[in-house]
Amino acid sequence: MSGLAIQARGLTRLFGNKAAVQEVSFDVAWGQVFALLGPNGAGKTTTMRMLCTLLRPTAGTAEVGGFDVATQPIKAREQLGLLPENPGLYESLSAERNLRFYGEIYGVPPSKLQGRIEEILKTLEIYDRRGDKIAKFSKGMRQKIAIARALVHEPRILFLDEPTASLDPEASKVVRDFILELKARGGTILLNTHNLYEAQRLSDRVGILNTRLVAFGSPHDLADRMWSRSTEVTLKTPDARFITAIEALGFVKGVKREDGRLIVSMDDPDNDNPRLAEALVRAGAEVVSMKEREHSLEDIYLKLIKGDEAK
Amino acid sequence: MRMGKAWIVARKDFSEFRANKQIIATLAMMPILMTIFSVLIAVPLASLASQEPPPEPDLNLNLLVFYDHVDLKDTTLNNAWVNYSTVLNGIVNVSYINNSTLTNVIAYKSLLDNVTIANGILIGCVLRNSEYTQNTTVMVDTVVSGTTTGSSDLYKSLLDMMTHSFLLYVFFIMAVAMPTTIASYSFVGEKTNKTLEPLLSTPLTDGELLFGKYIAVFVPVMSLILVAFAIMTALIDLLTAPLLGYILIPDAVWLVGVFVLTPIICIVGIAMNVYISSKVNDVRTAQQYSALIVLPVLLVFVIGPVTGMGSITVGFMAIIAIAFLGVLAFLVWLNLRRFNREDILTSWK
Repeated sequence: MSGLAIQARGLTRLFGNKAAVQEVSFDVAWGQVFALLGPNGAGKTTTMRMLCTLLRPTAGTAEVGGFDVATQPIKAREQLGLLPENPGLYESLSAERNLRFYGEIYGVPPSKLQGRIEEILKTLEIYDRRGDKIAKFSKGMRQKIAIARALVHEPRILFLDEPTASLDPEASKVVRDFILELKARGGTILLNTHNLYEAQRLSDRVGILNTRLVAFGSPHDLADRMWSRSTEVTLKTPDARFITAIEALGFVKGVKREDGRLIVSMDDPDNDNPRLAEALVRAGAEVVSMKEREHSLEDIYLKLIKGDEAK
Repeated sequence: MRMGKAWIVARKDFSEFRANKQIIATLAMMPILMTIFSVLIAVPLASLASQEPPPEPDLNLNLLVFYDHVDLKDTTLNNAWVNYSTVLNGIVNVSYINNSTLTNVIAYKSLLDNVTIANGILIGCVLRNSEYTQNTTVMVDTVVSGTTTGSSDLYKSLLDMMTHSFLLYVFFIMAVAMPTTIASYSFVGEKTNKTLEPLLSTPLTDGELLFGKYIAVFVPVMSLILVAFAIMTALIDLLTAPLLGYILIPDAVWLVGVFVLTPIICIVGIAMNVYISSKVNDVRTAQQYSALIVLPVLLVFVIGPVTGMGSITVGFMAIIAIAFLGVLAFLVWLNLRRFNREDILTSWK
């Protein structure tokens, strides 16, 4: 396996005069989980549909599994499994019949198909209900079958569009755990989601989309690019004289109070935190806790989207 | 095109149809009713047609005048014996007409022997070895015998018309009407159930998907039509052959109609349904529009014989088959142009 799993270059899609996606470029390496985040109408589903060869790009190029989505669409489709926003299962057919149909379409050999269906259904804990019609299934069960359908032919790349949307917390957890299991097995996944917690938990890298790609990278790298590093210090008795004491330290770039804690900006907390602690103790402060401040994906997302909308 | 892929799509649709009792019931209803209807029409007519003609009545002719080799015009003939003559615009009453020609004549209780009649009305007459045009009205109390031509037997002509025109039309109409039931589910159903997006992300080509859908509709519809044809033929022949002394159907017209023209009409019906499906977004609307498809087909088979352009003959069917193949080629081209992933996801309403 060589090259990149997904490669998008200047991907653009217009509907009439309106741009749904504009000049989006990103790469996804094999074995990576990549999350596309963005508000409603940001172009996440349109981007996914272009990569799945369901929509032609108006401009730009994309390759999926090494195949150009515009000139080699069938080869590209052979590489992927898609879980669309709506499960889109055949209600009057059984779970097993739904999976068998897709396995046959993808050309899974008959000798292998039955075993494959059994394996996925058992992993998703729905094997006992394989003969039931989809119409009898709950939303969560349907979503599991739809995931099983996307995996029945063992695709090299999995596209998941809002996999936990409209699921209850328990069903969401099952689906998330399953995605983590796929990730642990080295699966390559492109995930569209509104759920920032889910994206943070599951993805190696994220792309924040608002028609254009506003940011792209791992959540950690994005935070580093947007904020200087800082240490969060909780003192038993916060006092102004402690601030004066640490402001005198050469490596401290700034100090502010936030919710009774001190936020101390510095370039290299790994090296400088011991000296910071020492200075505080020497000044008579009682240090309760001290940790490097982490920015959540939600912080990153909100800052980027608000910044983009303000432009 | 990989036929195997198209067949997989078709088999999936068969499974869906089988699981939907409403579709099966709707689909089977038409051939069942048509088979019963055909038998109920053919058997009584065959029974009437097979009856012995009534004996010739004694007309009690009392011939008082004799015409031989004359041309009579605007004449009323009573108790006359007319021989080798022509009668134009007249009334013939209780007379004996022999080797003559009657035009625009009303004949009452007369014996017409070896006579040619045009535009006449025959009431209570005995008609032997004669010939009359279609514009002549032969009342049922007129007895026809000998080698008389001009559709001499009312019931036999009705039976012929029913079995060789009307019942065959019914099969053509079934071929175009029945696909509407399942084609609407097959195409619009995929759209409304949102099953198209995952299906379109598979390595199927547009042609394979479309062809699979055609097979999925064609196979059950034609199977039901052929089963209905076999049952109807068996029942009609079983019940009418002892009465008539011969097998009524199938003949060449039926065989060409059922095995050549009906499948072509069926595919045209499917292609029309596919086109309609691309324009609407719910099954019910698709079915309502599809019901209109029957009209042009009805028109072709009704206008033809009515205007004298042709009754249902092998030649007439060959002309219609060629015309329908032309329509089919256009529809398939149109559907292939319209049926692509881009349009389905963006411009299909």
